[in-house]
Amino acid sequence: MDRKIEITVNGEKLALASEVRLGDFMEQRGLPPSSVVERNGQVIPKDRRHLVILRDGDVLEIVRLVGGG
Amino acid sequence: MSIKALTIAGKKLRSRLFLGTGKFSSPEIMARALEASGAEVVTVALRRVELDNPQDDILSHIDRAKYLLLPNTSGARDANEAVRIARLAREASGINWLKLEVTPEPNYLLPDPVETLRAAETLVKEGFVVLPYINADPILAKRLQDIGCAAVMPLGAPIGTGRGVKTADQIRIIVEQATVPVVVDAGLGLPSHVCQSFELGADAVLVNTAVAVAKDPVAMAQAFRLAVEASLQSIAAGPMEESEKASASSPLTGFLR
Repeated sequence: MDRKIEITVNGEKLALASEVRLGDFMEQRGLPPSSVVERNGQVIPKDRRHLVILRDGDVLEIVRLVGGG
Repeated sequence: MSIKALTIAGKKLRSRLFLGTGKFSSPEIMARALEASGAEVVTVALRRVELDNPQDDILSHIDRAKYLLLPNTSGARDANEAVRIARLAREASGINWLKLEVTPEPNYLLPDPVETLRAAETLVKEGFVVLPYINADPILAKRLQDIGCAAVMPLGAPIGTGRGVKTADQIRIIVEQATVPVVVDAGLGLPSHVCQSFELGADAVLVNTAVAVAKDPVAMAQAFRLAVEASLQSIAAGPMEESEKASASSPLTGFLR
């Protein structure tokens, strides 16, 4: 788990010091727990965040509900 | 005069006014407008979290015990994007209701009928309660109801224009053939537009901008609520028929001569 990786989050490339669990990544970044994640096109259920390990090249969309019509 | 409840996908709704939550100047004003509107169904959108600036959570301002969230797929430019947004919205909201909108063209935000139908087919199969936002096209509305959409949401005028029910003749036809509720969505700028929608036979209306950008959104929300009540009560009361010629309201006998 100490390999450097690069992932794409919401269109932005991010370098991470090592592979990391999605749940930990979100906590470290201060992302709201209510947000939801799509990883490589698949929705990650909220209760599986702590099982998923982010790998080099992963593409994430992290989204949340906002006001809208 | 009692007014029948509206039922969508087996869920009985107490209000026929759906309210959008976009464009409010603050979450507090939004919450007060929701309250004043009497709405039960409230729409929300899905957007990327800003990684450097994760903001306040809208859900902390919406009492889930009181309001039914209707997430939309705004921003989707084709069926594939709409389906992706829908799946994420279901995970974020915890409910499977969806306002399906596919608006590839930025100037008028008119819905793409082909992509909307394609997305609806997929989403209905995946168990979503799909309420598609459409142009007021009776054939499309019928196709969507035939594949299992829970309602249809024809526009009165383009989103956010406040121009009223410019599509009245088509909405009348949609209503005539509808086997699912018809919700007039988009373009309603004034309470009178709400009245017109119900007089055409709509089952519900969706309003957002007209309330959110009013000088006093809370008072405007209440005005819309009253318009809905007045419309429904007048329909239940059995309105008079129009006629070409005058018909005196005062007695036609005993004139002074």
